[in-house]
Amino acid sequence: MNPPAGDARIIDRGYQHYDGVRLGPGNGFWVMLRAGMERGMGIRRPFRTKILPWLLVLTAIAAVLISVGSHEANPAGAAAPPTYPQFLGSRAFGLLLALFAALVAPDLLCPDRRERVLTLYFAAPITRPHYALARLASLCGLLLGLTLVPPLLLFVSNALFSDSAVGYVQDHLPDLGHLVSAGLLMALFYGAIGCVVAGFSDRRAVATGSIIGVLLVTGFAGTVIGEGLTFAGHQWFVLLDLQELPARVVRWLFGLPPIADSQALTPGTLADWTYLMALAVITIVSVATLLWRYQRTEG
Amino acid sequence: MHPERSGLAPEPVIVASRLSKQFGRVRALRDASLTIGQGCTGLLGANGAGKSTLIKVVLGLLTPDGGEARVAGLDPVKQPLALRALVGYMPEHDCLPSDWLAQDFVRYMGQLHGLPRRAAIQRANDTLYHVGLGEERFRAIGGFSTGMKQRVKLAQALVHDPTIMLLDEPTNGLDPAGRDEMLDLIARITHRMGIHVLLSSHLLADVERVAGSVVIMANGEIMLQGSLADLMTATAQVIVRTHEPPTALQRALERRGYTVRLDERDLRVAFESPEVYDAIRDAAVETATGIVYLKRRVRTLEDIYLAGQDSASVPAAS
Repeated sequence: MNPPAGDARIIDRGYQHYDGVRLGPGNGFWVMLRAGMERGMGIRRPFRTKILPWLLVLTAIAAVLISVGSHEANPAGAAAPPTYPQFLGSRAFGLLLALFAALVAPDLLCPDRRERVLTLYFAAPITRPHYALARLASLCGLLLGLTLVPPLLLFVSNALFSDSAVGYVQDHLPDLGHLVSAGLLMALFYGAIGCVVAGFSDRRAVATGSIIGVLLVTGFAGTVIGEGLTFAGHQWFVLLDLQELPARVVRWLFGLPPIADSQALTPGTLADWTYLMALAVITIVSVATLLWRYQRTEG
Repeated sequence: MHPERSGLAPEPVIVASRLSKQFGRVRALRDASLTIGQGCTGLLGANGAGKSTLIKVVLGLLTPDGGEARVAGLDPVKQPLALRALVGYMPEHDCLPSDWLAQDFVRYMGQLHGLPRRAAIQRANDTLYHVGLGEERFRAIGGFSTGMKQRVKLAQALVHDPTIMLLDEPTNGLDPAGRDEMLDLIARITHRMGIHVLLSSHLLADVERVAGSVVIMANGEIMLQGSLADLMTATAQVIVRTHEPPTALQRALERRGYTVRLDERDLRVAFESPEVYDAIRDAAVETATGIVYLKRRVRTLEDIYLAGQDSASVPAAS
């Protein structure tokens, strides 16, 4: 028996043309940026892709919480929490950022080249610079979370455990500015290096190894030539040490003297702002190389 | 809203004038001029004929060394982004991300083409349903068969409701059943969805089945173009079989101004008008040649293609 006419429904609407809003080409950049950040953190992807990025993020946060918590639980026995420049400029934190960039940058760039998805992206209202910058921005955005959240957590913890939280914040407002500046610079620096190296390979493993390799080799070269040798102008070679460079900039931002460690770098041999300039130049050259690389990539 | 559907776009859909493109010492396009009207047009040519280069130039992915093109009234060189928002492109080669879900990827491509997120989700579902992947849309593309991947490629080209679709060898790698289904889909896109299609293929049967017009390329040049029906009629022949060797008859017809070709035992006389039958009769009487039979033969697309490959022997139709 047929249902009454009032219950009739159209099951197949057939093909419907779209007459709604169409967003401009700039929209594609933001869509790609968001998709890149989701991809980097394994969102809407299998569980195994979530493990490493979240582990690195949680490690950074846990380091702060454990340090502050143990000191507050046992002020006499446990070491005081690190200062902001100590935390941001530590080798461990630099290594964590390098690992994150080495993990995520290849995941953002290599499969698109390897699986030739770029053909489809470039056939959309997306330019090559749009694509490269959106991928870079995704990585820098994630790195910014990593460079900002743990130090800000440290700041908030210090404020909460101080005698007067409001007084602490008022007294340390400049530190807050330095934290944000340092976080931004470090995120851009590691993001640019990660993307430019990953942009030259189709294979994730090769790109990851290359990023870590670049940081290790430059670190070794900078230490050996810049600090181990004594020829004229040797001190300029410390700028090659891409592992240590962000730490030197952080110290400069917080108004501390340059690193004078057991490797015999003579304090003051280079002007303080030199480190910032070197970091800026390396970041800009990396971004320019990335754009050049994608301008020449066949779609 | 699409300019064309709102009546703003000029006809025809694609116009190109003296396009040229060179890669090193290879001239991929040589003064290619073509006009592509509405509906489905087949772009025929052997591998290396310049079909993919032409599509990339039309899409604004390659800048031509010379000449100009207009697609839906837009210049691919000066307005590539506006143009690509109106065009759906299905490349020849594999180009899908294996670890994406089909629905996610088609939705993403819709967003990249300017659809708001909610509309893109809705249209991704609808489009995947239309290409026959409604049930599989939440599976990873990496686990799909070749036929399913071709359908995803078609869906991502269709999701933003383009005015024109450029399909580069869409039946590549498909088994006969898959090929049939893909051609049905393309026919449906043209006839029921009202989207203009440029179908690049080296398979004559594919083009013959779905296209109303054809453009034939060889060595970067446009050899032949026009409506399939017109080309078949324009290149019709009358086949004449004789008792005696037909050399004398051939000469008599050539003296009357007809184009005649000897093909084994048969004469093939170009059919320009019905008067050709009278001319054949008169020439047979004049040369005392006995005629076994004569019949008109409408040429197949294969004949036209082969003729197009040999531009010296067949003039390009307009």
